[in-house]
Amino acid sequence: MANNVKKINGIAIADVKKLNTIAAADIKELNGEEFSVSVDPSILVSYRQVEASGSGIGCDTANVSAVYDTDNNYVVIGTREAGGGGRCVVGAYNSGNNDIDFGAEQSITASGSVSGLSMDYDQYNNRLWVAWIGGSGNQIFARVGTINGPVIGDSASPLTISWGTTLTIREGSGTYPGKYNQGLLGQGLAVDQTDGACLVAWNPADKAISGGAGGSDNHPHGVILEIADVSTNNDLSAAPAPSQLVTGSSAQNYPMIVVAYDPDNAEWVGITDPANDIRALRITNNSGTPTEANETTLANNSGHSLQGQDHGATAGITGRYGGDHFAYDTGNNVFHVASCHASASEIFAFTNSGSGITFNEGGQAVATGEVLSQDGKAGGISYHESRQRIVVHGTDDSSQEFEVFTYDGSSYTSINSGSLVEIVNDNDGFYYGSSCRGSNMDSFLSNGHLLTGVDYDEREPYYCIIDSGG
Amino acid sequence: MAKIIKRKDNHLVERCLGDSETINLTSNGCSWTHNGINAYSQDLTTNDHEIITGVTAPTRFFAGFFYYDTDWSLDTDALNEHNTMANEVPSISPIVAEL
Repeated sequence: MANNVKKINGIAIADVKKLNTIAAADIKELNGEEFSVSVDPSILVSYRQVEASGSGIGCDTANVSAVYDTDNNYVVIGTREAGGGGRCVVGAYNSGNNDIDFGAEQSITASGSVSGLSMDYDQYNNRLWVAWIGGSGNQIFARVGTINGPVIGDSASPLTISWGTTLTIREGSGTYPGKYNQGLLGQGLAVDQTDGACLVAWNPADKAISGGAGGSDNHPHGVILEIADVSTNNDLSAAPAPSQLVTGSSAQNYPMIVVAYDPDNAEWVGITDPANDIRALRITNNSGTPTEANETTLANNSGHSLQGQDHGATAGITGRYGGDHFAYDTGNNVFHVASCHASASEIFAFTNSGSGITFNEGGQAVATGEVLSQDGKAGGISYHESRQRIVVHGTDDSSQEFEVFTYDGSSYTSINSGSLVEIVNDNDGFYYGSSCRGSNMDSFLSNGHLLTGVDYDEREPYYCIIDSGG
Repeated sequence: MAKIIKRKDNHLVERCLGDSETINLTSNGCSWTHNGINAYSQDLTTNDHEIITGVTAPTRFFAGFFYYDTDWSLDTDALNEHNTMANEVPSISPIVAEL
């Protein structure tokens, strides 16, 4: 019988790390008894400010984006700068003090107002991709860098980034007066890990986003970017004109879209809300043009939306301003999306078959993350790959907490709805968050899962590393 | 007093640091320390940029909207355009900048 063994020589099983040099997780039997170790969800690295060379950094009111460099075993955290510009810091785990040692700030852009910073790690080309809206004229930009570390890049300059030339994807209000690039929402960029092509999705300035609900062009668009010649430098090929990604008349003044890569079908998937609802769609690469297909609505769950009418949701998990809005579950090959709802926010799963999208209409209520605001107070949803668990964090307007779920392919189980794990006891903490989605971070910190966000009072980027248990 | 890093061609100011803070501007990039934080940009180089010292800093600096030749100027058109947009469009933060 599993878990019959509670102690070994007086030591609680949960505290036994190795037995005769065998890691506890690898021990299957003990004296003929089936043996498994159960670990509760916990905080591995406590909530703390992101640093650069040992000093805490600020970021003003903006999202925080984070990725895991699977080559160098680094994490990268990117933010807007309070005095203009945007930057990353690259960090390595230090087991000596159970913290992350970050290098100096690596400027992405030295000036301009940065918003919507989105990042992904390209495991095909071993590069970091970044997109943001900024400049002095609301342009949207992209840039690719090589993270220098022990495996990839210049090992003599660890924790630094060598960038290619910044690409202007689309001009902004200077070219299209009174219209704006907007709607790049942290998860607005995703790399096809089979060929290194990168999808960027947002609302372009020239597509009448300020034209009001129902405008024929009032839809999210996208472009596919590629590195021009990866053997010579990190410069990007010119951006094509953006292609419309969502069809149908929009009831939203500000419809949103966020995207992710589906490794099982080697294509992208997005979620959007043109009718104040929740929709998922496939996005394929049609000779360099992103092409949407199978736009499918979560149909039988009234009142659930991504952001509410015109980003007006006041209750939910992520809303428009949260961290990651949906997450890919590599164990079940499904996506989990977080809803807004006036009284009972839920998470829903949907499957992409490569030829269609199917929602599991049976959602799962969440016990945290029920308070949103248009100032960016929202949590996030992510998938802890090594534990194969879904993590939702958010605020109850008193403290920031996380809840963990398992999914068996048809239904969810909450692991700790009655014992949420507190990230920080602060009614204004940890918003605009992100997580290292889609990557097993066990090499960085065993069973670690990075969550990032902005401490809302201090306007500073913070992070913590959790274990969702198992 | 302050020291600034600005573009040579159009005088756009990209960084405004304290007079005692360090800047190392080279042909390959620029490293600096501001408020105790070390930073690096490969885009700021001696090819296109220069350091001016002994400058009186503006009341509220924001990189990308200020110019300095022999005196400061603020691109109020761009600033107003941005803040009009920030008022209208969710998820874009307003900028506070003042000469």
